Amino acid sequence: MIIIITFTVWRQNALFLYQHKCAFFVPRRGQVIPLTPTKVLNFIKRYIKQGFIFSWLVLGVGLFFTFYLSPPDIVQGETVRIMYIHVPCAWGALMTYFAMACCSLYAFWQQTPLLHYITRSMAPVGTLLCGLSLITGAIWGKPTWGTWWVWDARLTSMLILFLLYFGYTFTVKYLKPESQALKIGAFISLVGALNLPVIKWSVNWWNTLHQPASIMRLAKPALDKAFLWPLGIMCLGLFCLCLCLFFLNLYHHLKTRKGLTKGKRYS
Amino acid sequence: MSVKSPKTKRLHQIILWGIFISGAFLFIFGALEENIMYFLTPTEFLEKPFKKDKIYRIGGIVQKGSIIKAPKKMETIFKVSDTKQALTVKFKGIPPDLFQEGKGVIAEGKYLDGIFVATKILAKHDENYTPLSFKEKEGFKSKQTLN
Repeated sequence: MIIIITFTVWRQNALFLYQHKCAFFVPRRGQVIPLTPTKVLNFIKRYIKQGFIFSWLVLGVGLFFTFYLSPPDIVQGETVRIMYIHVPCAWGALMTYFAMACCSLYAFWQQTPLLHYITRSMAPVGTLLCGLSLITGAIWGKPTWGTWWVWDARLTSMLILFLLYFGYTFTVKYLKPESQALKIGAFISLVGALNLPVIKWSVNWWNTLHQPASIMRLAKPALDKAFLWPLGIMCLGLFCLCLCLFFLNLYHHLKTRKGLTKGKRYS
Repeated sequence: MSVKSPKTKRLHQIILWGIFISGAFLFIFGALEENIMYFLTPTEFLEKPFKKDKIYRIGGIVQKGSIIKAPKKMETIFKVSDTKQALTVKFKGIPPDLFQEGKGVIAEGKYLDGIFVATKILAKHDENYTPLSFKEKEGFKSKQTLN
């Protein structure tokens, strides 16, 4: 999560760093240039293809690790391999929602419409990740626990997160006028952010079927090194892929806002 | 009081809303406290006065050496313990694959005449993951935590 915060702050500066490759002028030292949608669009157009190729490569390596190089678990056997999809998706869903909440907060404070579009572009990615983590979790749960679903604190709060993502998506899509819809959506993402600590610590606070944290905790990770390597690579690959999907969404939304897409207009 | 800029006013509004909504969430969770616990440990279960026909869930670790299987009747009798107290559980049916001695379990059912008659058994695995190759190493003991 710290990575996401630093990244969202750094991203604004990164676009300045790449300015000389895609804009018409180079900023002089100390010159403050605001982040405009055109600059964002140029950045995305320039790097999106390479981004996708890179992320698919990393995911390919990760999947190879998952299926061939990862050892089976002593208790669960081969079903432990589902962890390499379930865990990165779950982390991604939480981090995306956290980033959405941060962007919404920043948007309210600074009154920047661009940040609302950034939040809007993150929502489909987050929904996908949350849905995948719920489905892979159910597939993992059936052979290990003996059930597809239980209403314990961790699973219920993840389902609530999934519903919040849907709530946000439908609010910004179907409410008119557009600017009001984005503000209400931002409010939803902020209020729902209170669900995030519940998800994270539900396994510690209450008795749940879902086991406590194995990695994101103060003690040493409970995973052997042999498991951590494939998990790290899959996390990196998924992160890059989601970043590319986010940029693709952002490109579409910004183009629509400018009125440059066929048939769709924002009020 | 000095004149506040709109930006500062918005910041204050955000902080006040945050406190208000956090308070509401805490209130809701306080009200739901009893239902949020998915299961009770044997100690917690035996502390409370229980109702005869109400369905409860108890969870803990299967005590070593306590599994008695009757394959013809498809019954399994074992003890669930949380290192302080143990409860005898009788289960009719096929237990899941991960159901072993020394591993976590959650039993759902009713408490009748000193035995917990379970209708559903869920195997609970802990947060430790170890490669299969560690089994062959001498003196290796898998760590099983209560959670």
